[in-house]
Amino acid sequence: MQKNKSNTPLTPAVLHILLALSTQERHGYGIMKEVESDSRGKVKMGPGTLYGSIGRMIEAGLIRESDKRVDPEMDDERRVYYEITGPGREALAAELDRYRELVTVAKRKQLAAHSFAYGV
Amino acid sequence: MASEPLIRRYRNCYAKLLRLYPRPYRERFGEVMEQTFNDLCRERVKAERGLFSFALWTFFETSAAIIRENATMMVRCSMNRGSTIFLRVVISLIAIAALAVCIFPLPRMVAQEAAKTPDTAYLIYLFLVCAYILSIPFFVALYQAFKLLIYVDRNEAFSELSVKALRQIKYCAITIGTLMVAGIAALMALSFGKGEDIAGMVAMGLLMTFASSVVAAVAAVLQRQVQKAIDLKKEGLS
Repeated sequence: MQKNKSNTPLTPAVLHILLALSTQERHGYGIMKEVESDSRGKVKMGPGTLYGSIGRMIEAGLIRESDKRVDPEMDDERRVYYEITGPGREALAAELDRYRELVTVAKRKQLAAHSFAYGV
Repeated sequence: MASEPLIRRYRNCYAKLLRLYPRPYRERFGEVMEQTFNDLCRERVKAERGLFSFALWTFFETSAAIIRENATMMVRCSMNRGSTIFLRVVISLIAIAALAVCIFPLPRMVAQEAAKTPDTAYLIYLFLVCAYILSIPFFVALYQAFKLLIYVDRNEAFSELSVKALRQIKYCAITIGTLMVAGIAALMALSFGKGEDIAGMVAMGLLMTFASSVVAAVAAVLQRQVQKAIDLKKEGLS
């Protein structure tokens, strides 16, 4: 089965994870926190959704496991970190472009700008 | 902290739940998922919020993910060509066994029972009729499952045909479940106040209702996943 070519729409969970990893590599809990703050608390991902998406994204080559180390801000347990890959960045950029196009169309139709989370 | 043992207990429960994931997934993510669950628990405790509702939600969320991963795994495993021969043999054997039971021992058993207790014989004959009616959707479902496996072997697992087969399996399972519930209700109504011991029959009926609802749920999930894959493919082509 062909999966996640950069021209197919991403699921909301995948998009949020890519966004969270776009600035730096993070572990699972870190991704969850970042997604929560990115969406201002609107998107709450459970571990099932998070790691299900991570598994599919690793398979599709969008992200990869980078390291296993201790997070100094938490405790002394070693955590697996994930980082975004080149194709992942491309997919994210393509998806954001799609959103921008959508917003442009919406603006042309003179819809209120504040009803969109991802403005241009 | 006083809540540490509580967190540990929840974490152990969660680890048990994680065992239901397909093995490759569990080996890859089991440990980190447990860790993340632990982190989330600690965060809740730090914020001085209850653990129970959070744990309940997470267990529910993870169970849904487990069903999904297992369904994906099943679809993926069955995509290897020729690997369905074993399953097809199993289905054929089940069908032959069920057919044999319907034709030979069942009527004889019923006749014997009816001879033993002539005044409640109608109940037993009703049971026989129900069993035959129920066998129709059962065989239809088996036939559809067989067809589905053939599609998988021909690499047509992701086609409208297999969606159709899955839908029919789902309907058959729902029919069996509904008929079972109706049968149990009828049995209870008929034997009400007569002191008949129907607990065994009711238990069997409930078990079959449960089994058919599981089949219906799995068929529905698979149907949706396959449909999604087809839609994705179509989108990619257009």
